[in-house]
Amino acid sequence: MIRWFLLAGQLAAWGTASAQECGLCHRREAEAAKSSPMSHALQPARESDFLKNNPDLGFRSGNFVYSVRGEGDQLIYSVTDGTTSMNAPIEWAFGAGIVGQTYLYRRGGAWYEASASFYPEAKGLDWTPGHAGRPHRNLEEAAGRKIDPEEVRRCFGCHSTGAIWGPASGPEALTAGVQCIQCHVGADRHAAAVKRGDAAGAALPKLAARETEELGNLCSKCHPSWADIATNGPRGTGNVRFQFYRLTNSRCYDAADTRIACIACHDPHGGLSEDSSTYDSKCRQCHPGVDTRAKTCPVSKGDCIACHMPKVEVPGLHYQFTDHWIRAAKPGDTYPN
Amino acid sequence: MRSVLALLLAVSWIVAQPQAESLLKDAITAHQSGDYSSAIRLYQEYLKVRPDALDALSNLGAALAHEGRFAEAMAAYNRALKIQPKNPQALVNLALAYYKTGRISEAREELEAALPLLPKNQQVTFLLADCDLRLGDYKKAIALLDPWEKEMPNDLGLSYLLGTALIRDQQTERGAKVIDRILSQGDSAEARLLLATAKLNAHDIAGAREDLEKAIELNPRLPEAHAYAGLAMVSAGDFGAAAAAFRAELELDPYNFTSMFQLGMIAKRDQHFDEALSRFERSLAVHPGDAAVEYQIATVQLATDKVEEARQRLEKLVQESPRFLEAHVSLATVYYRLKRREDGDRERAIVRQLTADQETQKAAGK
Repeated sequence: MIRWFLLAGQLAAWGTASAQECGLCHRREAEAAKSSPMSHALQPARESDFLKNNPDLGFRSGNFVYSVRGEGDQLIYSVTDGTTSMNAPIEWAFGAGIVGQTYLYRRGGAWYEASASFYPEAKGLDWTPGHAGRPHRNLEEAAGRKIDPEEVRRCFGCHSTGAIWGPASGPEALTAGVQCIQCHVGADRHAAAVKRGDAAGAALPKLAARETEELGNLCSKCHPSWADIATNGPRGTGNVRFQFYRLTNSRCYDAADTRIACIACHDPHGGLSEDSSTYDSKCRQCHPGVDTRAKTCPVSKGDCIACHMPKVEVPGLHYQFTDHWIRAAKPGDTYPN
Repeated sequence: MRSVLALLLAVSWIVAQPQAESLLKDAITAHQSGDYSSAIRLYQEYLKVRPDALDALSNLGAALAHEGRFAEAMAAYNRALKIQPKNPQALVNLALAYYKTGRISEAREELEAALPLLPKNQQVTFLLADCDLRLGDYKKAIALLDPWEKEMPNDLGLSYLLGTALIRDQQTERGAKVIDRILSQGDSAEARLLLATAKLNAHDIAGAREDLEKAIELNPRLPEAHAYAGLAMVSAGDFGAAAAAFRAELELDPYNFTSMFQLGMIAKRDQHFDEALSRFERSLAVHPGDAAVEYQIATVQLATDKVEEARQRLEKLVQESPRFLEAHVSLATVYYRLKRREDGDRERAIVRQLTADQETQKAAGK
């Protein structure tokens, strides 16, 4: 009771449902979230480690030369055709940088997605996905893609939390990255009830109790859903990036069985494990024969994902994605769409 | 007593005849002098005496249509057609009334009925071809216009209609010849619109935009120029400008299907679901039963938690169009939302099969 009272006092001192606030009770999750890729899904450009550590980046395509360089406390994105140049300060860096990081700049009040993104594997700039095939008939077209206000809102809607939009084209206030309230809808009400000492009012539905499909729909607020990709594509290896689509196509996918839900393997509050053996225990939830429908692997007792979730490289993205379409993949097999 | 009554009625009928004829004469005079409201009143009085007078019904319809009272005009034409179902003038007039109120598929039905009665009528043929174009039935339009092309190869209007149908039907080579014929008569808004349509088909968005800008500059009232400019802007991701272009088209033609539908798509994209639904419903009034519109309405219903309504619409849609992939995708989502897992799994299996079929076809095409 005393703890509850003290907590309410501390909560009152902070805002509503900030990560700090939530961490007062949910320490493990809050601590893990500090280093999670989702909480770093957006950064002001000047805080991007990639840009800070690589102050002079560049690449060339045809007549155009792209570069990012530091100038005072700004990072300047520059494109030149040798005669004229386009220079704009980068405002925001999108993506935690596991695969890459994409930049947004403004010109004449409009937002643009830079044609060049940073790829850690390549240790440099290359085309932003979708930009290589765009027409580059002049400097403006070559520099970036104009984004309409609705798309800008969607970008910030997923990569930040609590963005406030004023009459200007940009967000007036936001918290960079994905914070608790993005997934835990009602966390602000929960925190307010805790402040009041209202234990009953503080009740919040447990997300982990949801069925696989429902959880998938929640993640699909930002990660494209099975329906998004099934309807609009892309087809071919380009869709390996859309994990929920791939997973849903797996034979072992079950819309109700939470052993195949996103969060069964991935801790949404923490980082992404790159050690394939850490996922074996997840596969064993079904495959040692506990579930009579699930087969036992005749080949190996470990490192399941090496064969069943092969790595696929998407051309131009400098990254090998894990294919979430779980299957017995053999070398030379056609990539299933 | 009975015989006296019959006699009185007979006398009043005989007396009414010259009065009625004078009413008709006055109605026609008023109609010809442009006094439509008097003409309508006089035709209506005349029809009380002679309810089966075909010419009067047809004239009444025309006067009502001129006054913008299309529903009443349609009723007059339909009365005429009840009396004489194959009356060509009533069929054409009824078609025109439908056409002017954006009921294109109904207009087409009437014109199809009229064409065998007026086989050499250019207006009926071209209007029918225009309906086919508006309904996306390009091959039918081409079949209608082909015989006329031989007879009047230099007619600009015909070339424009035929060229549009050919380009939209992706018959690029033949379409290009028609465009050349139009261009040989000098730069025109029509030629620019056709060129832009061909460029849009070839995904040359910037080129299409240039031609559309020129078309609109040459003739700001050219039908469909703003709608196509909007489509080019959508392809370029310029949704704000596209919405303005579609609205400009609707100013000129309130029943333009493309513009209404695309404004619905933009509203849906911006999550203005009420507006999207209203636009889609109006699109459906122009293209009744259009599967793409029905599907979009279902997706709006799904987005606004009207899951049961979405289910009903999607089930009907996949029954009518079993290879409509997107409808199966949304139906799977609906079933999972309704906790009908087995149905959802079945729909997903259909989607996988349809996708695999598409890939096979694509590979065979290569």
